[in-house]
Amino acid sequence: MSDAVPSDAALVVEDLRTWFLRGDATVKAIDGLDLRIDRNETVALVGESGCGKSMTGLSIMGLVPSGGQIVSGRILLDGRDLTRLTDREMERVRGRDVSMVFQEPMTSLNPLMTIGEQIMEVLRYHLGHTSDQAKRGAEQLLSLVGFARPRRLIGEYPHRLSGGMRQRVMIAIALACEPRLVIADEPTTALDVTIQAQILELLQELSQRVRSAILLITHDLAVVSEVADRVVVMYAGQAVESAPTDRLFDNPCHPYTRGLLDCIPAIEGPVTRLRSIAGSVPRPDALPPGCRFAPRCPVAFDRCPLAVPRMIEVEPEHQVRCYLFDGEPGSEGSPSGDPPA
Amino acid sequence: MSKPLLSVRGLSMTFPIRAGVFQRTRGHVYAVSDVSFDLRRGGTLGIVGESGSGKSTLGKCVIRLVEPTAGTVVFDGRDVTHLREPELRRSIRSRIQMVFQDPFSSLNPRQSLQSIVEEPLHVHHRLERTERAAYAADLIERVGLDPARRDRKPHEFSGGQRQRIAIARALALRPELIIADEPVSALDVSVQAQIMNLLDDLQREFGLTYVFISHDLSVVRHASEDVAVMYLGRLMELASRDSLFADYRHPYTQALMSAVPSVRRVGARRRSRVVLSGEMPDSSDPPGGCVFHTRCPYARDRCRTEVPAVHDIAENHRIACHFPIE
Ligand SMILES: Nc1ncnc2c1ncn2[C@@H]1O[C@H](COP(=O)(O)OP(=O)(O)OP(=O)(O)O)[C@@H](O)[C@H]1O
Ligand SMILES: Nc1ncnc2c1ncn2[C@@H]1O[C@H](COP(=O)(O)OP(=O)(O)OP(=O)(O)O)[C@@H](O)[C@H]1O
Ligand code: SF4
Ligand code: SF4
Ligand SMILES: [Mg+2]
Ligand SMILES: [Mg+2]
Repeated sequence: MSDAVPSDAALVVEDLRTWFLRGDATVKAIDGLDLRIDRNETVALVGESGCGKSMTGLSIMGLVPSGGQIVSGRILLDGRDLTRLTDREMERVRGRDVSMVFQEPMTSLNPLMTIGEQIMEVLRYHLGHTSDQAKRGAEQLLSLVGFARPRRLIGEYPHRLSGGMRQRVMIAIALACEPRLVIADEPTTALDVTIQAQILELLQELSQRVRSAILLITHDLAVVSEVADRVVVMYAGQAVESAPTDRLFDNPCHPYTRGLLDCIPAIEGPVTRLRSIAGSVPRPDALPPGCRFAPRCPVAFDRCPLAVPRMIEVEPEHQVRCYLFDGEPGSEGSPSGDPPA
Repeated sequence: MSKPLLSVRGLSMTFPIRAGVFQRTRGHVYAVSDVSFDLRRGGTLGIVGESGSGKSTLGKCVIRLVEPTAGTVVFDGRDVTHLREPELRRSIRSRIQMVFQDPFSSLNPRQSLQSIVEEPLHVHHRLERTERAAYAADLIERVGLDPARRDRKPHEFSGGQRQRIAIARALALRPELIIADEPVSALDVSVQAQIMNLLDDLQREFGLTYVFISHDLSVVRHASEDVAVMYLGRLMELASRDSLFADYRHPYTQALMSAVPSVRRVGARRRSRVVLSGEMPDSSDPPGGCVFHTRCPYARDRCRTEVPAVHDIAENHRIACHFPIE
């Protein structure tokens, strides 16, 4: 890979591998992931449970759980490789340059501290605010995320808030330092659709205002279609398709992407039997050889299990990791497949 | 219409809130208020609504896990609202079953697949051991699991497989009515599709009747013949699937519909997007008048004082609103 980082990229992840090395097996949670997020862009990371979405977020945040490590690759935030930072340096980056919103806000809010104290702590630590400044900042942030009476909320403890309110507090904390990148890991999965719509609109509007890029992690393609500029489909630790949102829905190319879209019951049109993808995501300690989707792929052919396909550009800004699109001489990629020589 | 299998009238469930050392009653949660509907044998009634709207409580009243505080539940022509053990077990427990959202917490982690599926048979039937085993193996196969894995424990199965186990167990007594409470909410779309197809096949094969609870409108639309929309314990709108989705009349249904993100929002009717402000009020202190008036974009004075009665607005289409959408 070239060292030149496009100047409008907020985040570039190159060939990332996050593995858990155990005595008996190697768990390859992330295994060759490439990802790029431009400034002000909302990129959605989608895929089934266990394909490595959360681990991607945790790797960027420098929060890989114990037992796991980044064994290769680079994570460039504004051109700076986060994988090379010391723990102390990373601590300064976290919350200031990149922050994360989790699915269950209760687990990331401290139950013993008031909402105000938790926001103020971030402002004091990262921005060196005085107590007065931090207090005013906290009030501003809370009104920014839609609380009518921020002053009253400042003294409340998290358990007194509803799920939707807590998630808004988490967003306030995540945006406190106007980071380059906000990672939102299933931020609305635990919420009702009406609250979900509020939170997604809020997240978008605010990131526009503070000019942060967003990495939206979700398994819900429908959510994606409404908020993301670009979608990256992930399977078994790798990106398998990346495209602007409209293109992905109009012209899904990877058999896995097509399979995912086919599974979704529609809210309109005729009701027909659902299609589903056979089998399940491979375990990361026993990845199949070659294309990782091959054991479940309805159009797999003999070349597929031989080697991992590379990312191919099928149209501008639209890449696919599948031999059907790899026009390399000698493959000519018809689905039924000429056997490779 | 022939006699419905399930007929619910004016059903209410109010839980006391107790607090303090003496557990004195400090208030009430109005979990379900005045809900009525009929469900034909072989049909599926979908129930949608936000968290806390009373969907699960309604299901639990029907299967009589709780005893409703008012109203009646008539199952197959018999009033079962206040039945007690052992009559309850004899006449309801084997004929109505419930499948829950989280198959993991509802399965005993120490039991094997086979003994989970067989267990209900011990209680209700006097089958020989070998007969039981053969019967269980049959069921296991029918829900798409490998009988060779019958000695495995729940944690050795994936989420979707665990939901299949829960379904096999629910089927063991050959029930007539299954209350499926968010059966696919915790699953990936790919697995969700598999489970929904399975429920569909089983319905056809065994003539099952379903109450299908979900907060996901697309899923409910796919699964149901009729759909009930609930808010704060009350029925807002009840109609056949096609009328409800193509021609909803209740402001809350409209709000729910427009909040649904959709990958294929095409078709004739371009929905105006109504993002509801605020959150659902507390069910221990529901608003007076129409319970939806605090969030309804069309609320007027009358809505704040007078509870709208559920009334017919078209054939097979009922609604509780003073000012239905035209
Ligand atoms: N601490 C750990 N030790 C070993 N393996 C782990 C650990 N944490 C996660 N994994 C594995 O890494 C893989 C990726 O997990 P990850 O949490 O990123 O999935 P995900 O895509 O976020 O799924 P979900 O949609 O369920 O949240 C999984 O197979 C998981 O079992
Ligand atoms: N045993 C109980 N005691 C007191 N309150 C209860 C009890 N069970 C339910 N409630 C309350 O009744 C209301 C309705 O709850 P219910 O679980 O039926 O809603 P739901 O629509 O199933 O919600 P969800 O989508 O979150 O499952 C809620 O306010 C809930 O807190
Ligand atoms: S490379 Fe082969 S197996 Fe993989 S997705 Fe493409 S066709 Fe299917
Ligand atoms: S009765 Fe009034 S408040 Fe209730 S839904 Fe109808 S218009 Fe809205
Ligand atoms: Mg995750
Ligand atoms: Mg429920």
